[in-house]
Amino acid sequence: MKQRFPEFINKIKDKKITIDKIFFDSNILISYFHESSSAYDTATKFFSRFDAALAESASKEPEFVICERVLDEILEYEKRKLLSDNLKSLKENKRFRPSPKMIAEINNCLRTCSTRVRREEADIKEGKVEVFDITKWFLNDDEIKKIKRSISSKDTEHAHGWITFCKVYINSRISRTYKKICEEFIVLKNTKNIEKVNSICEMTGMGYSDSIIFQTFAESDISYIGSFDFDILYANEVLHTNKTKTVIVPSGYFGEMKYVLKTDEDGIQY
Amino acid sequence: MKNKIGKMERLKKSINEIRNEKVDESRIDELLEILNEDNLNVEVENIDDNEGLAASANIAAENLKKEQRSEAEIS
Repeated sequence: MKQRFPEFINKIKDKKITIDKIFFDSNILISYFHESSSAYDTATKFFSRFDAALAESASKEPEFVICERVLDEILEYEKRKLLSDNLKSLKENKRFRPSPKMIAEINNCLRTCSTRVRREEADIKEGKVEVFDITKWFLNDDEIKKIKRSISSKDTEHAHGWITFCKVYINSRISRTYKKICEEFIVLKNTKNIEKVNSICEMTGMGYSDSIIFQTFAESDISYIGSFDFDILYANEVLHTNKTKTVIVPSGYFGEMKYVLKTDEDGIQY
Repeated sequence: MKNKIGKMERLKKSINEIRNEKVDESRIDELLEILNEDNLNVEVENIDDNEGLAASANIAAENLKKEQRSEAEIS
């Protein structure tokens, strides 16, 4: 099954469903943790209404669950944010006297990144894009490597410029963020059923990471997953796990599912 | 009721606090010293390279002159 956010919230308020545990996909959490995300408002609205609905129905506090792969993705984006923001801050430091090559590389990568974000924002505004692409928000891996090479201008054995940059600006921030997340979430081990993961990936063409996340959720005892990812919704339909599992998605996603979904007597596509 | 969503808000707050912690200025100084020093080294290396090239060019020019002189003497 699948439910739009408002319907899910209403069912909790009306005590039609009780949530003991809910699994979250990485994109909804990353959106919630990053104000620059185009889906930040959607994620924030969801969590605040979820909070209010639980309070209103005096429901028992649900457990929030993720898997290791989701945690990896959250921390990867945290690292990218720290590097992106602090490279901008370094660039703006008046005492920073970079070589022309170094500043050209930093400027070029930061400019490419901000152009990418502006295009994404324009596409969303014009309704060209409904699926939020989180890979566009920060410097990507290739850009980080280019800047790393330019800062580590000498041989890699003595690349202490970049190492010091990481020590100053990242320091223990990733490990402390990891600990905070583990305090609030149950973190499941990724599925060991690699054959099934391969088969999901082959059958649906979805990302390998998403296949791991979906299979970990599918074999858990958790009935609900909150996600912004069309692929998770799609996999739940085509793999017929939808009889026992429900994907909670933003309203806009149902439009995209018109060729896959049927409509029930309440007009809800499922 | 203390519910999980309240914890989500606290988690976001904690993550933001970790992100926004002020970096010790002396550590930034240390970084700038390394980066700026590295750049100086790159410039020095480039100067060295240029000097090396210039020296090679002078040697080549001297050799050419010697060859031309020898040819003139022979003829």
